[in-house]
Amino acid sequence: MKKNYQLHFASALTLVVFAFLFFGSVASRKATTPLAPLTFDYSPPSNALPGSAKFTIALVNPSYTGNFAYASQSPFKEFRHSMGDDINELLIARGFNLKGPFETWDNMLYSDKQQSDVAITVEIDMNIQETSGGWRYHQDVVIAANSYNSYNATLNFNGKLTIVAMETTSRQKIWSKSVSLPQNGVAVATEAGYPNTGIIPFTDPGVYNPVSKTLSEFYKSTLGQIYAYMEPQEMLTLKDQIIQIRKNSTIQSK
Amino acid sequence: MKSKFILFHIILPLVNGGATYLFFRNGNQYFFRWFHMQPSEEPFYIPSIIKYNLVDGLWLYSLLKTIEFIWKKDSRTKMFAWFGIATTIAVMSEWLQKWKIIPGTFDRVDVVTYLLVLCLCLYQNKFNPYTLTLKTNLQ
Repeated sequence: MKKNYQLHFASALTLVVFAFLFFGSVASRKATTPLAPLTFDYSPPSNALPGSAKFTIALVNPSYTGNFAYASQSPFKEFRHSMGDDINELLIARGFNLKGPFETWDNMLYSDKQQSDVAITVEIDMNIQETSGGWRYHQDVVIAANSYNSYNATLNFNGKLTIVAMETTSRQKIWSKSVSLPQNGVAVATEAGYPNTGIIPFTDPGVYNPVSKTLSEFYKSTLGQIYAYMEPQEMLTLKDQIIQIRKNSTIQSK
Repeated sequence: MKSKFILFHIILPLVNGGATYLFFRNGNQYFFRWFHMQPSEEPFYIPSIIKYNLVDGLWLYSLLKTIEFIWKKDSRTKMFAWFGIATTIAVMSEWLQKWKIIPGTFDRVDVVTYLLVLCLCLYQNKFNPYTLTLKTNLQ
């Protein structure tokens, strides 16, 4: 009887030891949902004849203002790149002649500056605020190494896009318009476990997918407004101002 | 004989599984975190059934063989009962993974592998109708 008791105990102990090994073999919390493909795309509603506006624009690719921490991260990186490409397309559809797009102002050659009436830059001023929730630590009381952090929050996106037209030689601002980003609350929740770094884990599909969906909604509405603002007639009114600025800068340089 | 049994039926399957984790898995396993190890690059391609399911099968095989080692000279009925408990826990663990109660990914092939391993261990212990009938006839 005593022996049987010992054998049962040994079997139970074996189960516990093998259960421990089993937990070593299971994968730690990882994301299973794939990252949704980005859909930052805008098609202008109508196409004017190429060059019909008789106005040449040097386009400088959009840039994030200030120290936007996530500027180089996906999907914000693609948001900026796609915007550059689509503004390029949008200006051509409006009948403007185009130089560029240039990655930065410094990439613009002297001849490009001379041949362009204005340079257009788009400044993206984006703010992300955590309105509720945040990081949460999940402790595994049995195996400390299995503990992890999750991020579950509501993020509020706000800010604006500023389109600035500058005289190309003096870099003087002559025209500017702003498009406010619609204030949107986005609920995000990570699928995988992370160390608590304090920064929002945009690489996780639980964060990436809802954020990129919100950004693509921003994208369509803001590009639509930029299209409306870029009226050839209004741009042509700047011509006198440009000539005046160039005259003044020539006199000053003499 | 005892040491051969322990080596070939208990230790070797576990070492085999551990080696598969070391060389062929992606490093998400807690195994790597426990021992502060870095997963290595896959040295060559092996089918996923070996990489994922056979390892789990070897784990259960080793467990059942340990139970067999404990009970072999005593009660076969109790040994089979412990086989059942161990296999039930293994199969249940898959469903617990499906219901997100424990970490991991549910895989029905794992369930099939567990059942095949149980059948193999029962067969090795002459728990098959053919052998039983044969024995009865001989007697």
